[in-house]
Amino acid sequence: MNKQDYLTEFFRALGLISNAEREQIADYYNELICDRLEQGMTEEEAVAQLGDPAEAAAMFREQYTAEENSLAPEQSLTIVEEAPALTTLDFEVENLRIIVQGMTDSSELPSIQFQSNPEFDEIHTETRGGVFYYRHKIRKNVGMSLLHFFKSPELRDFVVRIPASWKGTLLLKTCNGPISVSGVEDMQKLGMTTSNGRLELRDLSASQIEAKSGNAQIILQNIGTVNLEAVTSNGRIEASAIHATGLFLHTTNGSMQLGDLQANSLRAETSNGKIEGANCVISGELRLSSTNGAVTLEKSKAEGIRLTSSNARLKVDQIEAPQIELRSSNGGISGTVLGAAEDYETEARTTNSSCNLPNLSGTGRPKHLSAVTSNAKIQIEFHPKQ
Amino acid sequence: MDSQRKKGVLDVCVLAILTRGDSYGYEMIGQMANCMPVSESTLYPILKRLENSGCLETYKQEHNGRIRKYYRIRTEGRDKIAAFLEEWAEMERIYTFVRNMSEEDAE
Repeated sequence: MNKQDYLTEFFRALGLISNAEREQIADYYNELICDRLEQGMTEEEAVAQLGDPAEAAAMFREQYTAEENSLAPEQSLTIVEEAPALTTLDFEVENLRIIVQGMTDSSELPSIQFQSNPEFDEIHTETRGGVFYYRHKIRKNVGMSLLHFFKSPELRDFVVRIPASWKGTLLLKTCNGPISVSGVEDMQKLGMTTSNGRLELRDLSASQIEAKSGNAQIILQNIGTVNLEAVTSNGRIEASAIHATGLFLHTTNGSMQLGDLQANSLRAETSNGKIEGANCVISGELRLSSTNGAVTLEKSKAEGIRLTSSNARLKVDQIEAPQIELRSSNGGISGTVLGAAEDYETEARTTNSSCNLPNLSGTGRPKHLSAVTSNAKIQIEFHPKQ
Repeated sequence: MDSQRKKGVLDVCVLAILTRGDSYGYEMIGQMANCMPVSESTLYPILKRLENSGCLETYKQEHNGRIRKYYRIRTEGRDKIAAFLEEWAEMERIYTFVRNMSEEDAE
């Protein structure tokens, strides 16, 4: 084995260390090898005397853990492994704000910036089968956690820097902290989970995106993807300027604001919030549903549009689709549809109120519009396309 | 030897080598071989630890067209050796006591 191979294997086995530390260790080994060459050894012989690189790395690692204060990496860490060899970066942290930044300098390796405190941060890292694992926990020590609770209520930043062109999978998990990701262009998969923090995704592209938050808002802006799934239980979802094949958005107690979405299918659901959509172009089905909130959709086009609300009104403005289904139980249905009334076979029913659409069947007309509610008015106008 | 004690002893051995003059990695490994053989991966953390605690300092110097890192002992390092030797006198008394007591017991 030559010097370069030895160091490559050694650093791969060592895992995560600071850039400065990496340089120092490389210098140290270089010097030891040069001294042996001067003694007349060949490079192979000199390297053989250094012992197994994995064992040497294990010794270093042991020392790092034993002496967190003096030897442990402090702030900036490079994930030491040629980036292409890693397919996945998997981070799980506690009570930290995760910030992911795509770096335009593609020669940069993925790295982490985090000011850890050995008193209460417990960190474990491992690289296995192309996956880099980073696990961070706050030590479960009652005295310390109380102290921590009183002393530092502020959220600390955990910054992950990734070359914008990186093609792997990035998994992020935190609790009690927000996550924001921006500037990555070609990721395979981006998965993020937080229990009590907001999720913010801006200016990025990834084949698969999964964003899950327990009790906070999700913001999606300027995103290119194949499938995007955003789920939160008690927060609002804002989505704008998204190109996707499949878009699925779900919240339980929050409202939704959707604008400039292009996809093959869009499904947005909430139980207790209103949904407002505008400027959506969907080649398949566009489906918005709320249980107790109003649903409005304007200037949008799809193959099929389906809006449902059990207890609130549905309002449409300049929507266009060959199949339109508007369903409410106790809310009014109103607005404008682009197209000619003669093209639509309309089906409209309400109880205890007025309805301006005829109830037709068997007309053979190419398009279909159905509007059904009870206890409220139905008022839909057709406007010619401009 | 107990790993904690071994660590302390290794530190002192490295410092003792440096009392004879500044040295570098490869040379120190050779000298340690006479007393407590250490591998390259063991020596590095020792040097780092001693540097961080102020027992030694480092400087770089050109050697045969390349840079070599040298280590120099500081006053804190000499104090550490003195403390070790002092502690050893006490250890010796304890050792004699333990040996005498256990030998009597064996008889």
